[in-house]
Order: sequence, then C-alpha cells, then structure tokens
Amino acid sequence: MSLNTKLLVFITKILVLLVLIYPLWLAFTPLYNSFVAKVSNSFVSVTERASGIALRPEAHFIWIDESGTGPEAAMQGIDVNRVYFNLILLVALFLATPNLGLQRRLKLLFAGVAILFITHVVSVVVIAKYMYLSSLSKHHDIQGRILEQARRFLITMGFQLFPVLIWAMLTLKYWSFRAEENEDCQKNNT
Amino acid sequence: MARKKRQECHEAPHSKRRGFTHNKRCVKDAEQAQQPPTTVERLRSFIRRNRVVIRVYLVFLFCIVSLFAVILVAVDTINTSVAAVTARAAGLVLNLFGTRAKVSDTIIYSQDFGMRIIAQCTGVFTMAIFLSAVLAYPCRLKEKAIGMAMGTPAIFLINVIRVVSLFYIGLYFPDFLDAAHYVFWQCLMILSAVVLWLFWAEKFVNVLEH
Repeated sequence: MSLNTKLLVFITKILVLLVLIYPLWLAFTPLYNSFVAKVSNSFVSVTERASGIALRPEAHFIWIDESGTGPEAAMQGIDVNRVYFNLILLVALFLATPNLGLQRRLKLLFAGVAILFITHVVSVVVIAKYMYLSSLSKHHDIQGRILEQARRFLITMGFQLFPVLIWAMLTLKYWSFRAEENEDCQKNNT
Repeated sequence: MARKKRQECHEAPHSKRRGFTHNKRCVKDAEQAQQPPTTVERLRSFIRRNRVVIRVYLVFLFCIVSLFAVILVAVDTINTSVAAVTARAAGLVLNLFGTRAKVSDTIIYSQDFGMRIIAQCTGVFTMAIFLSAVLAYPCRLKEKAIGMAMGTPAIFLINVIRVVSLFYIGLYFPDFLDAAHYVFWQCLMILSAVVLWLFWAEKFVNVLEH
C-alpha cells in the first residue's frame, strides 16, 4: 500500500469514527462532566479561600457559584462542549491507528483518556478561576494575567493539541508507515 | 546468575588480578548485577534510550510556546489583515458557487446570514502547531523549509474551505452550526495538520535515508 493510500485510509477511518462517536459523546458528556466538576472542585477549594467559588455541573455546563449562595446566584458558566470535544478526536485517533492489536489499543486508549481527563480538570480550574477573578475585576494582577494567558492558550491551541500530543506519545513506536516500507524493502532485496 | 559470574571470573584467561581479591571483586560485581536497578538508574536508562524523541518533544513545546507568544503580540495585525484575507478568499469562493456574499473587512454576509472572522478563525494557530512539529523533527534545514512552504498554504486553503462550509451550514442548517464549528471542524483542522505533517515526514524527509 502506498503512503498516499495509507493516509487516505487513516483519514477516512477518523472521519467515519468522528461521526459515529459524536452521538455517544453527547449522551456520555453529562456524566463525564459531573466527574470532572467533582475533581475540579477539590482543586479549586484547595487554592481558593473559604469564601471562594464552587463548581456545579449541569448537563453540558459547569456553573461557577460563589460558596454559600444558592444556584440562583450563579454568575457564569463554562460550556463544556468546547472543552471536552477533544475526547472524540482522541478516541478516533486511537481506534484508527493501524497495526495495534485490540488489547494494546484498548490499553493505550485507556491511558490516553486518563491523561486527557487530567488536562480537562486543569482546563476547567483555569477557566473557572479566571472567570471568577474577572467578575471581581481582579484579573489584572499577576495571578489573573497568568490565568488569562493560560485560558487563551487552551482555547486557541491547547484543546486541539492535547489529544494529538497524547496519541503521538503513546503510539509513536507502533506507527506502521516506516515499518511496512522497511519490510517491503527487505522482501525486494531477498 | 551470581554463580555463573563466579565461574566466568575463575575461567577468565590472562587475568592480571588473581587470588582472593580478584574473586572477591567478581563476587561483588555479581551481587551488584543481581540487584534490581534503582529508580534513578532506570530513569537514566530511559532518557538515554529515548533522548532523540525527548529532544523532539522539548523543541516542539518550545516552538509552540514561542509561536503562541508571537501570535499574541501580533494579534491585532492578525485580527485585521490575516482575517481580512481569509474573509476575502472565502467570499470569493462563495460567490463562485453562486451565493451572493459580500465582504466588509473581516465580515462575510449575505441576505440571510453573516459571520465575522477573528484570529481563531484564520488557521494561524493550526499553522503554528504544524510549523512547530516541522521545526522539531530532526532533519535538514532544506527539508524543514519544504515542510513550511508546503504546509502553510495548505492549512490556509483548508481553513478557507472550513469558513465556506460553516457559512453554508449557518445558512441552511443553523441548528448544526455549533457542533460543526466547535466540534467537527476543530478536530478536522488539527487532523489536517497531523496528516500534512505525516505526509511531509514520510515523503520529503525519509527519501534521503532510503
């Protein structure tokens, strides 16, 4: 199989997988969102003072509540579809990678999802803290500026980059393009 | 294994060190060889075996952060000039397909739908990721130049296709606009950068090795 054919097959598989996984992801997101919000809450409460913020998950949103107030006082929210969408890409990449074998594929996928989960928690904490500081007009101090740049990086590059980086790190040695071409060379030589 | 090592020590010909001290050293070496490697030794061994890949990742991360900083500094220029060029190119394609779209600076609009092109819609961030991957890959300068020259216009073209498709989706299927914009096209843009990079790495870099 030529390189162009291999790449075409790879792209086609990913496109089909993106379409197939999307409805599953929509159904799964509220549950995943609750889990991320719970873990993120523990980090937020560690880094904020007692009268800080709390994260409340609701379907495809995470509302940022001030501690001690009810849900009606929710200031702002994070649309988590714009954060978790890269889960679809990560799963599609792992499922479309050739020559992995089922067991190895599932192991690597599980590891990849675990690492991406950590990036989601960090992202939610960064965005929530930035939004909270902005609402208090405290985003011009050092912490606010760092959070602002981190948030910008996440939105413009990070969310797209993380699944690809994780996939590349975990599957690099199994990429088949070079391996199959080397086998072809050896066959031709013998 | 320790016993085998002792035998090897005893049978070693032309050994200058003989007698009790030599045997004691052999036994000590054998015992040390039997001890499991420490975490530091394992880490050193891992770094030694994967130093090329680790260097690639570090260079990649450095390039990403640097290019991101450059884009931030130049964001006003990107928001005006690059976004305007993207809008004009997309407007041209839309008119070629018969849609009466007008372009005003960075805004594309027709009778029923309009959209504004901002920095995130110009593809510069995807280009930055692609360029970082090209710069990080261990190859010659000429090959990196080919990669950059090939990838940058390709990503711009794919981005124009994205803008045009989102315009039509916003016009005829507005309910799907959010999903198309924030989920599918985000994935497809980075996927196009990955595929372009794979194509470049295999076609233009490895040819010399073969």
